[in-house]
Amino acid sequence: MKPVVVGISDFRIARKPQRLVTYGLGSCVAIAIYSRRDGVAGMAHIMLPLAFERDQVLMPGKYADTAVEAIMEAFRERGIGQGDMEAKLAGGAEMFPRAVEGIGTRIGARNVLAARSILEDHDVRIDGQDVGGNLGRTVEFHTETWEMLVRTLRGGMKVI
Amino acid sequence: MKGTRITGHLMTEDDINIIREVCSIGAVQAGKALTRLTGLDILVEDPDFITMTIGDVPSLFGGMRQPALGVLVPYGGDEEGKILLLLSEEAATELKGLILEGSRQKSEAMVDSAFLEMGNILTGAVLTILARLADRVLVNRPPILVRDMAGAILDSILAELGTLSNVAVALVYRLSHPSGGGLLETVILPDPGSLSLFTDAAERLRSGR
Repeated sequence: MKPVVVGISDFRIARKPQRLVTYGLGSCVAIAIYSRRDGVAGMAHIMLPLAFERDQVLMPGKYADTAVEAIMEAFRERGIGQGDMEAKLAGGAEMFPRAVEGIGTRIGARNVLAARSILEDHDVRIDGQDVGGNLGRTVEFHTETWEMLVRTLRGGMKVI
Repeated sequence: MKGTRITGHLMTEDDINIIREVCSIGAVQAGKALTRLTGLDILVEDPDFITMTIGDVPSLFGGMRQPALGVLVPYGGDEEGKILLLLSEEAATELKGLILEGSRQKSEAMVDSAFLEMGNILTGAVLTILARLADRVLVNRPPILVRDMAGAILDSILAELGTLSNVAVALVYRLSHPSGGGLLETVILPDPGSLSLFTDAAERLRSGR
């Protein structure tokens, strides 16, 4: 079965037994939210922590706050309630640790903090995470096992 | 007025043509500097100036997960900013071969140092001309080299661009060598501060300042 590919600043919903995949995360973060009971999962590839004007955001998958809200809304549209939601996170690396100028400073860490905070606001429990460091990551989320496979070019594979 | 909105500025087709012209002047200088660096006769063709949505940038390298080499060149002076130079793994390997062929030393450290220098040369060529046209003093800071997935390397610049719009600008340079197999492509991605310099320079040229 072909995976459901989540592009940069995008989000997608998948049902069991589909697999969600997103490639080449640096400071970006993959947020996977799922309900084991309902057999459904959503994953976003967020680039930035918070949207300044939430109502005017054209790409809700771009920001941690609007992406989580968009996934929860997509669940609601499918008749899935908010209870028993869990989440897994990966990404948030600092690819150029010595690059200290500009808005890009610690953007990975800020993305992770924002994702955790907005998930907490929605009462979504974080079940696993592989965040920080300075390596790029490719992520696969399996709805059959609810496992997230995190691959790096040099660091091998991790299952969370 | 028709055009592309880049970091808050409307850039017209005329502006883009001016910038393309400016970068072409830099390409000639970069070719000479690379020839001195490698000891080979390297020619840098006029670059393509491409505007695209942020999500489409990784397609320049065959996708987000493709292995790539990035050289980030920060600069200071009158303005702070950074420019990212990215090579696909194939292009980096080909360039490494060219560097080793032209050099008496044959170490990996020397190759990394040459990649860093190449980043300095290509981005420096753009910065020098931009500084002159925008009437600023810009000073290159030590470059940083990273090998990883293209998407992961690009994130650092794309995230900054993403705070202002969904549009990115890429300068695609093609390097050729008479005895080489073909053209070698490298992409330069300016951050929002650098893009403001581009628009400022274009505006000054248009108004004849």
